Amino acid sequence: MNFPMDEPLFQFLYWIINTPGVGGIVVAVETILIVIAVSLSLRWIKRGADAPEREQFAYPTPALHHYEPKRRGFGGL
Amino acid sequence: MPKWSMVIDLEKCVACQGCSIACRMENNTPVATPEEAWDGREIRWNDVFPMPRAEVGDYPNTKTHYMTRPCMHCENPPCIKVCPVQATFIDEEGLVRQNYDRCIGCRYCTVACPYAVRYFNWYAPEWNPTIEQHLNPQEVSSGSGDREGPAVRPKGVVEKCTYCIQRLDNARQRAEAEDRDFRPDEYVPACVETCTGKARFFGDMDNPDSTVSKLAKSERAFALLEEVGTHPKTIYLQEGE
Amino acid sequence: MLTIGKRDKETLLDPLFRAGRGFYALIGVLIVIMGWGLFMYIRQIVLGLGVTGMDRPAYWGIYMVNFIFFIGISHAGTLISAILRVTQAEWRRPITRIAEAITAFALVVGTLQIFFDLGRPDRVLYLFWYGRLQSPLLWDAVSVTAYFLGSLTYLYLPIIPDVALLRDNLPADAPAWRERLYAIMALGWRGNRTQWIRLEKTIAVMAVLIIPVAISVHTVISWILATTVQPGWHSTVFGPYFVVGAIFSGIGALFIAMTLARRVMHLEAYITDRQYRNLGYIFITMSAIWFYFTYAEYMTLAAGQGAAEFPILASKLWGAFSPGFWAMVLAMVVAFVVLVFPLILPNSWRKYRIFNPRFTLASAVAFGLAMLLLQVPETEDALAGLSLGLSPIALKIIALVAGVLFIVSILPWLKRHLIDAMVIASGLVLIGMWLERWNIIVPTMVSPRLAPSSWYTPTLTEWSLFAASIALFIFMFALFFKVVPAVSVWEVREGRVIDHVHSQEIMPMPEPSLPARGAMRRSLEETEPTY
Repeated sequence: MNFPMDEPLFQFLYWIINTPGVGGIVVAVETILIVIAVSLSLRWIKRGADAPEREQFAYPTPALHHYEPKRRGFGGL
Repeated sequence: MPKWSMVIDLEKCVACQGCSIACRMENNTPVATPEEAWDGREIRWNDVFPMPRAEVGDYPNTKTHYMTRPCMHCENPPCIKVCPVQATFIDEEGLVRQNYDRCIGCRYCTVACPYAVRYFNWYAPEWNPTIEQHLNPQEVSSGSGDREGPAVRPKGVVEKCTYCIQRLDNARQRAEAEDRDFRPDEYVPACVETCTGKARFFGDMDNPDSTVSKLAKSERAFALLEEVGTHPKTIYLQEGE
Repeated sequence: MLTIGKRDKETLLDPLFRAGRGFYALIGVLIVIMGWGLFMYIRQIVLGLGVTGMDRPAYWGIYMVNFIFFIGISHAGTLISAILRVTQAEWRRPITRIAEAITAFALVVGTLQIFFDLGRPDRVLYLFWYGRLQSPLLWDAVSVTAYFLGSLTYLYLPIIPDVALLRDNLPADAPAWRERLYAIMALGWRGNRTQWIRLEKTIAVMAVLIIPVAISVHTVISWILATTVQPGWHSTVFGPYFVVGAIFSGIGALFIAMTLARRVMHLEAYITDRQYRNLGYIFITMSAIWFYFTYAEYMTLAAGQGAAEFPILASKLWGAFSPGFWAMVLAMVVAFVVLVFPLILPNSWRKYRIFNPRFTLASAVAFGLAMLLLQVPETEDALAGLSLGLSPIALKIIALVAGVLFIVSILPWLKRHLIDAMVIASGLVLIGMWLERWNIIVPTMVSPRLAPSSWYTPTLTEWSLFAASIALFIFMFALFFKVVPAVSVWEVREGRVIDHVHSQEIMPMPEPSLPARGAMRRSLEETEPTY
């Protein structure tokens, strides 16, 4: 039995893997997505500095996650 | 749409290597120095070589079996599947072609081919001055402007037997100029034309009345390395014992 | 303003701003090696790939071996540190930075091998412009891109608090470019609660995401070989086999890198026996899995006796490639012995006379002599008297016995010198893994089904580019750890607090179920155990 290549789905899938340039597009899209995701996470971390919290820590401990900081104005630093 | 195919009758082959030389002249294959050839870097699109463990009988009554091997132009070619840039591809008429302007020289196709019919240009090609004046000037571009077929290859790309694809183009153009339909028997590769023992046949496998179709149905017909599933279109006829 | 203790500052931060004569000498030597490699590479581009030892049918050679080897080493890092982070192995803290740096740099060096190998490096962008997804090379491009970007991020995230610390604790004489660099890299890090929580969340997500990507990378590399129909490559076991080998060689590289960092940067107080011991257990596990896969791969080939496959297996077992194959096996077996036997050596070893230096020396000399005499051709009359009339079989037995005795007699030394033992084993594993890739690529290449078999010997160009690749790897490493601390400062400080808390906990004795006195029994039966 032959592979059902006349199915439009399989023709489309074969077109994807056999067309020159699609590979480059996939790598480009992948790179862009990762760079966007990483930049957004980094921005998210950077924005964390704007939270109205007084204390600064040089290192964390697990207790930090349950700790209620003294919320004051940022200008009070 | 024709499916080009070649049948080689090993019973008739006299191992004269005429096919190899005709191919070299037709397709501008560079000439390797003896040192390079010793390193296994000579390029023979159509190779003639003794079979491994080919000598039978006791001296002086020995006999050697020879194999002549162009590209198999597989229907399921392992080489085109691994090419990252589609520098090698199979066209609608079943020819496995090589685009010298696209090839990046990763040599994945040469590694993937179980028949080792693909060759790499280790250095820029060189000829002696006389041969250089008589190179085949044809460059098959197949519309895209890329060099194929007998076009002189730059260093660092892969090349292979094309079944003399330029001759197919020429035959088509001639038919067009003479305002008639192209007939499949107008196209014959150089090795088939030159074969001393008339051991080679070429034609359209899709046409059940063609010589190659009839020969391919012979009891003696076999394909090289059938077990690797490549479905070659170069078919051999066994030597009788 | 983030603060740091005096001792941490002196060992971790201050050396970044000092460079001794040794450092400049190392950089100088590395630049010379890399310059030579660059020259050989330009020569290869100008003349063509003919300057290498590759031919038909050995179309791939040492460049491909190195590609797989370096990408394999890159699994040290991210995979090890990610798995240890996810499983919250506390001892990971001082070595994660080094492991992650190995990943990023080995990936750069590994990808470079592709450039060395291409016949037309000028067309390398065609790989994307005309990229065809059916080719396993494109799968590789996809997964290596994800892995490289992911590991760079994963390396960078834990660096943020450390460069912020550096920014706030610069020595007075620090150059201005460092001040700017640290300020940019710190991303305005303030170290408030929200930032810490966000950073740790991001790292936790990255650690989980990077594991499947890392596994995909070496699987796809193995599929470059396994998707062809070539004898010896067309194997289903290659995916996991390569991943295991990659992690195995990666840990080896990590051991060597962390030992060098420990010695050179005086990190003895941070990277301790605990790291070596625990990572050693993982190393032993990977070694056992590697043996299992190697055996599975070769045993099926041997049992199948395929017409095309078996000659290749035979060339490895007793043919032209047997020296490389058995060198690989020997390296791996000795590495396993060096790792495992000191652990199972009983403490009563002092009683046995076999464990003393004189015995070690004697067995080493006997082994060396026997091996030397084995090399003497039997026909050499002048040297015939030397072999004392011993047959080659007898010499081989002597060599074997002496070799085993030598290893046995150095076991106590290995037991006392845990770190040296790990480095010896790592060096052997790296050599063995390089040979493994060689034994997979080259024997299949030189004896394909139809072409006449050939031979492949790497040329000076290929060795030069290999040396330059290693030099580049060390170069990036040396420069990087002059900018960023080799130990993740904040993670170590967090670990210290956690360790301190754990040390405060008092482990209770187990409940006795049969007390000595009957009077106590009743009272115990009446009270429920509290846990």
